[in-house]
Amino acid sequence: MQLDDKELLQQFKQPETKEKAFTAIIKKYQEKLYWHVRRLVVDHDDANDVLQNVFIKVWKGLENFREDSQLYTWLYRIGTNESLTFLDQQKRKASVSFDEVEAGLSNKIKADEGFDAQKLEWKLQLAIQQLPEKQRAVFTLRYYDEMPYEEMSRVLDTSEGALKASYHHAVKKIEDFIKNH
Amino acid sequence: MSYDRSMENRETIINELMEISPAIANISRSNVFSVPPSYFNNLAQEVLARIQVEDISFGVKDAPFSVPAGYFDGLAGSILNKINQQKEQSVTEELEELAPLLNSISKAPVYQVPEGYFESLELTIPLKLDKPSARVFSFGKIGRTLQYAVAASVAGILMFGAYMYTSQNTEGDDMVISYDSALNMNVTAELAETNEQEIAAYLNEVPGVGYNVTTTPTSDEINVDEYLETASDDEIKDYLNEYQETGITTTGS
Repeated sequence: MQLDDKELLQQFKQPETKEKAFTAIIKKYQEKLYWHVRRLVVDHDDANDVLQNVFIKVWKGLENFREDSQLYTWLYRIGTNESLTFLDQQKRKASVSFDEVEAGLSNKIKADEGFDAQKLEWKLQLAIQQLPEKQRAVFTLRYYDEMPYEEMSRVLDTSEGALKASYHHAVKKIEDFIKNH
Repeated sequence: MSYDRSMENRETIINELMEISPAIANISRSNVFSVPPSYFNNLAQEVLARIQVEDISFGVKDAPFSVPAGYFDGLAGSILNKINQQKEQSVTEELEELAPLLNSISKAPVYQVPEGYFESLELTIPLKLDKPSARVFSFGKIGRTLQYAVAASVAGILMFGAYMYTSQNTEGDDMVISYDSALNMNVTAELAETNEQEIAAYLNEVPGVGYNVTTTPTSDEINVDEYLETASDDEIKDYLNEYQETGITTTGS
């Protein structure tokens, strides 16, 4: 049985139960966060690095976490920021443009052993990589994580109206991509 | 509170997607990516292992070093005491370490001063301070060009004075100024003796100064126009004869 976030946070603040509570938090959110990160950075090893950094940041910041915020919103916020930061660092390291990073991500998808160019699911993944980074985050949070705009607004620090518009544009771009490929 | 996707939220999202793009709404959301076996089973342990490694470095920051009780209360006082001790000892002790011989020599002054010098000094200095200073003429709003011109004029006057001085004291070649005579020349005195007309003549002759300098009319000089109107014919003849002799030409009206 999973403990709720409030109980986990209280246990985390006690030295004797800190590690146990933290392990429980990881177990509870690891898959959701992993897939959110993976859809943004594509490669498993990159996703693993980013996810571990996310949880290390959680460990460092959890004692100061304000309980008036929801833990999962905070985790998604860190996960999104870490993923976008990782992609930005990749761009800087390679001194390549955003288009080249997109192409790199698409190549990673095509290099996946399960890749099937004829399947819509894989086309969808390629289409997602054509989106600008922030729009990609909006689309995956809404489409895969089924996150309400209100929560997404706290994760991405963007107004609900702007998120709705962004999601609408993203869906249209993806639709165009799939039709043309 | 955990993040539970509710059926209501899912239906809302699907309906929204159907409105925007039915084609996308009909695509299966099955996961196309794969994850290494038992990845999620080991993730928590891996993360904790990394945290423990990084905690070693955090530990340095949080190291539980202790300080003696009341250490900070007396710290400022003990530092000031040390500074004061160093101040008192620094000169003699430093010299003792560097050169003990110098430290053994008396520091009493060996030079003599005139008798009563220090007693009269108190009276002399105020007298000097009360002495009116030389009058300072401000250039005011005179332009920088004019300032340079004045400076050039002064330099020219000094040179002219030196020339006049040497020409009076040397035989033969009066253009030659000996080094000794130039060194010994009292320029200020020479300049004081040089009259205004000579200075004006020099400035008008020296090329590059660019200013016409006229002397202030003296009581000895004659206003030509006024003189011609009032003088008799004989007086005019005398006047013309006088100035023809000195080589000055006049432009008459």
